[in-house]
Amino acid sequence: MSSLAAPATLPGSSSPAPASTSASADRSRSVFPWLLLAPFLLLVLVFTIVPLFGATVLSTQQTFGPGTSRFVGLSNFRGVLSDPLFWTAFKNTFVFTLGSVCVQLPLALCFAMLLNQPGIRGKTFFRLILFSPVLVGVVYVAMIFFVLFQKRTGLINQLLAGILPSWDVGFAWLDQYIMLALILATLWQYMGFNMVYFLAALQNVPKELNEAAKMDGANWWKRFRHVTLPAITPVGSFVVLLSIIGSFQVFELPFLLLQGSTGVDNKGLTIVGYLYQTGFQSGDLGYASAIGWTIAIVLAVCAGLQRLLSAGSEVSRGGKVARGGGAK
Amino acid sequence: MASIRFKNIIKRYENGALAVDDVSFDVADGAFCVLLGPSGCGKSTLLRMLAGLEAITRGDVFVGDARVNDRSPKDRDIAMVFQNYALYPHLSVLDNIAFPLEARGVGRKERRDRAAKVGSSVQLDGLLERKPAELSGGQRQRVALARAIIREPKAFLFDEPLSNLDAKMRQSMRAELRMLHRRLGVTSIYVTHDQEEAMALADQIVVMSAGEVRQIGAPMDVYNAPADRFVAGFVGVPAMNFLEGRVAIDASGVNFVCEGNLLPLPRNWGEALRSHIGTPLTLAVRPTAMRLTQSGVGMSLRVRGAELLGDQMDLHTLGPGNTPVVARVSSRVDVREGDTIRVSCDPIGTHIFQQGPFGLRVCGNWSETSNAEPSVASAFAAT
Repeated sequence: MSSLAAPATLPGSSSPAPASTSASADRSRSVFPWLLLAPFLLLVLVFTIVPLFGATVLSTQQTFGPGTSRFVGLSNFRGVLSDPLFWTAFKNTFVFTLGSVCVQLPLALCFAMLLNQPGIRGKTFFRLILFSPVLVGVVYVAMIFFVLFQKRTGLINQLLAGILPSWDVGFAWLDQYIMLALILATLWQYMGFNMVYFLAALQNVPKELNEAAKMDGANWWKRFRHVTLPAITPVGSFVVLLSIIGSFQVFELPFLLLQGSTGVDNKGLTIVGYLYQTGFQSGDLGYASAIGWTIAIVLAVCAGLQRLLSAGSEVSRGGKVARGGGAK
Repeated sequence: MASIRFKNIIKRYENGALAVDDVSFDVADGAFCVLLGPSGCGKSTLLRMLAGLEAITRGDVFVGDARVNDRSPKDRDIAMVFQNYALYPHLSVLDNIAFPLEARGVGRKERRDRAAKVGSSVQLDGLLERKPAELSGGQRQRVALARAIIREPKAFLFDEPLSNLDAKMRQSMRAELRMLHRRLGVTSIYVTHDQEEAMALADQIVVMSAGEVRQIGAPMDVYNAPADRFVAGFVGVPAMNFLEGRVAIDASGVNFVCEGNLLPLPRNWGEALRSHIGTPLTLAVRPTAMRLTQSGVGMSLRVRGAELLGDQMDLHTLGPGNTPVVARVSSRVDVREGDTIRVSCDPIGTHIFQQGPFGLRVCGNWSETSNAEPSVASAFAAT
């Protein structure tokens, strides 16, 4: 029998931990994290929690300017739900949201997929070009598109007339089709931003999966459906949610494009625009708060749906089991 | 089934890096060929070029008689099993196996029936409705195998398929792969850096280093007669011991002179070594060829430590010129750190190479030494 020790050095025994720690050290250890968090918590308290609480209280009151108010219970909410102007604003906002999500996001995904192709030259340049509009302030975007969408002299009408001879250069983008104009303007501004999200997601699609699918004989569509789409779904659903939230909050762009008005037949009235109108122009902050809470509830439902969808896709990929270490 | 032929394959990347340098060899129809080499030696690149996943800079690849350089991966009639399994995470095991048939437009019922049959053949019964994340590593690898089998391809390609498995599972999957190959008889090319895996699986081993083929042969030929020092050092566990020195031939016989030590060599190696007298050479000895000896003959080694392996142990020692030398001996031997031991070397497992990392073999191996005088051939006497 060999009496020789193994050559590998055994880990040396470490010195024993101190038997006790002083109570003051314990206290400072428990206080220190809160000290670090304090500035953030203070800001959240002052600018989020207190206003949220205030808005909740306000939504149950009828106000006549900031000074006068009376408790009305839930009648502000009943009023909002039976208000035809609210529903016009809701319809307009919904159309804008639908347009933004259904046009902007697929286009963003297409550009991301194009830029994700191997061997594309000038990727960084194109990424910068497509992303840069998001750096432009909304006021400037409104100014640019106000000029572009003008009847007869606007570049967009001129361009379309050049391409389609039958196009009417007097096409009233800002009067009759303000939501379409808004969709196009936000498409220009935010498409590149969303593209960056998709590009990041696409770069995480396992290369081997795509190669396996290629060897299995899958065409482009099958590879997209079975490899790319499942892999980018978590990011995709997050981008959809962000886009819905952003679209429901649209205010500055129509406000500036329509120069403070709500457009012909309120075609440019959005929910936040209506909230602004009732709260800060008519002075009924209680009613405006009820509108605000209604938007919040709609967005919470959307977020809940997104969570459900994400959870569903995770389960379908077995993600929950995978985190548990995999069944044998 | 089909033979595979690589003809003067070169792969140079855009940055100028040469991954594969003029590689040519054939894999016979139905053979199990293992591409063996360290990371970055070009073995996976070669496999990917055969699969059509990597462009070939120069040269030709043939599957059967057909040159497939310009064919897309799906048109090469080759199936590949990847290191990370590459299973579609949102599809069930059954749908994963059936995917190649779906991609080729086979009807739902037929593809599910065939997938169930193939799944059953690799012991996946009862797991067919699970998602890949619900399976163990070994089960996932079986799904990947089944997905390859269902296509009934001309050849299977394996890119380090067992690397992600634990040692026990790797061993069991190795045996299963070997049995599967015997059953199906499909030409297989298998990439690994694990020489034990290569020895266990291969009919033919292709040892690669720095983009070049260093040796092609049957596993035992590569083990017993390594073509150069790189192959000698790479194939075999523990790795061979190398001692630098020169050969001297005189009336007393053929000797290897190393740091003042005179190590006798088999007399019949003299002819092969005559032209190398005076030039620097490398003596290579497998640790398994080291024999502890009580007599005065043999090489003196100072023991630094040991690794117990059960019945045997590896003694880590310092040889002539403080060269690290490993000797595998019985674990019943009583040896302590700091002891000096004497070992003789079995000529089976002893070779002479030219110097340098890729120095060619000058002589050695059991067939060349079969006529050697045992008394001389079995011992190096330390001076």
